[in-house]
Amino acid sequence: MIFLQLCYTFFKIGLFGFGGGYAMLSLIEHEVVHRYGWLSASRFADLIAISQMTPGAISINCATYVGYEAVLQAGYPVFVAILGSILTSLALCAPSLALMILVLKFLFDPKRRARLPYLQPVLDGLKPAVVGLIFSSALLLLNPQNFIDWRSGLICIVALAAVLSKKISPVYLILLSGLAGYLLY
Amino acid sequence: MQPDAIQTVTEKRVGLPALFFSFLKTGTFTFGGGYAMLSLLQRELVARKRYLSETDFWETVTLVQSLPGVLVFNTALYTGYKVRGLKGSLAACAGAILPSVVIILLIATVFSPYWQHPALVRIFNGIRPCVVALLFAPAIQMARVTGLKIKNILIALAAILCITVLRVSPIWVLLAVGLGSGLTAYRRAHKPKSDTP
Repeated sequence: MIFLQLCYTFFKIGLFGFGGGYAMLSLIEHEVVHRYGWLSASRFADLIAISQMTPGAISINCATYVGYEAVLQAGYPVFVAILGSILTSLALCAPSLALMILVLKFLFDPKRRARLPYLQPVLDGLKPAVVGLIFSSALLLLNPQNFIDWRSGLICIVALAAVLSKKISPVYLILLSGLAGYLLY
Repeated sequence: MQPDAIQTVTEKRVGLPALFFSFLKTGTFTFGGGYAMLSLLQRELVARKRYLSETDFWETVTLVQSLPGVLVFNTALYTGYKVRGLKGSLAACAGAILPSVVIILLIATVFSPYWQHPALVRIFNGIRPCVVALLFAPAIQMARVTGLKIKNILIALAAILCITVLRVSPIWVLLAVGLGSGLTAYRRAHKPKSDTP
């Protein structure tokens, strides 16, 4: 049952994952934290940090971890959980494979592409919605579990300023804020 | 774009293991996902291995960006296909996913007993607000790139309201906005015909 839920959920996320990793986090958060409760909001924030610090795509990293954790919570042993995590990652990527066949048939063929005149306006129209999605996932993490007191707010503001100045890589920023957390709390 | 762009095959046949290892290597050494990976991929696939021409590479990236799914995975899917067909696709994709799965599984299995360790709790207390900042930053940057027109701001605000307050699934938001922009484009395309007799 849990396997079906995981596959269905991450297949859906892969299918509607427009606008890159950060936009996909909003879909993952909705399903994983709010619908199924596989992870708490603070564990989800931890997972984003871990996904950022480890190599690879954020969404695949998240899928792998959620698959492992959800199967483990359902009471299965570790090796089944490992299979679950591989299955979840594959489910996330499966829609891409199916779409590729469609895309190679239509988009790479200029004659057929002309018959899809509304594709570009739709993709352009989705951009502001994707901005809204990313803002939402940030806002939903802005909760008392992740922001315990004023020190959390301070870290967030300093980190935001640093990231927007583009002078420091997110990986170092996570390491530095971890150090700050260790020293401040 | 030439219509035969996909059929273009490099003079020497690229081995499937070589394709697999190219993506395995870029997958293992890129942090922060998506866009950070592109420059590394470009260096590996275009400059070093010459699997793709510069234009082919960026054409693939542009196409892949507008498709749903994982950017890195999709890039692997299409470059693999261009170089060696469906088999190439699968080899490249396996290479692209493997590092993520292995490393996260290692962390999940080794790390989980220590979540409650006092030092880790303090470290993650500091990291969580930073993660929120890391999400606000791309949202702000993307808002700037998309353009701060009233229409865009209203769509973004409506999306935020639906997702955070009404707890609507982001999927419905995407479907509604996609449908809306399709319909406006359709009406715009058909209006002038009725106006000019």
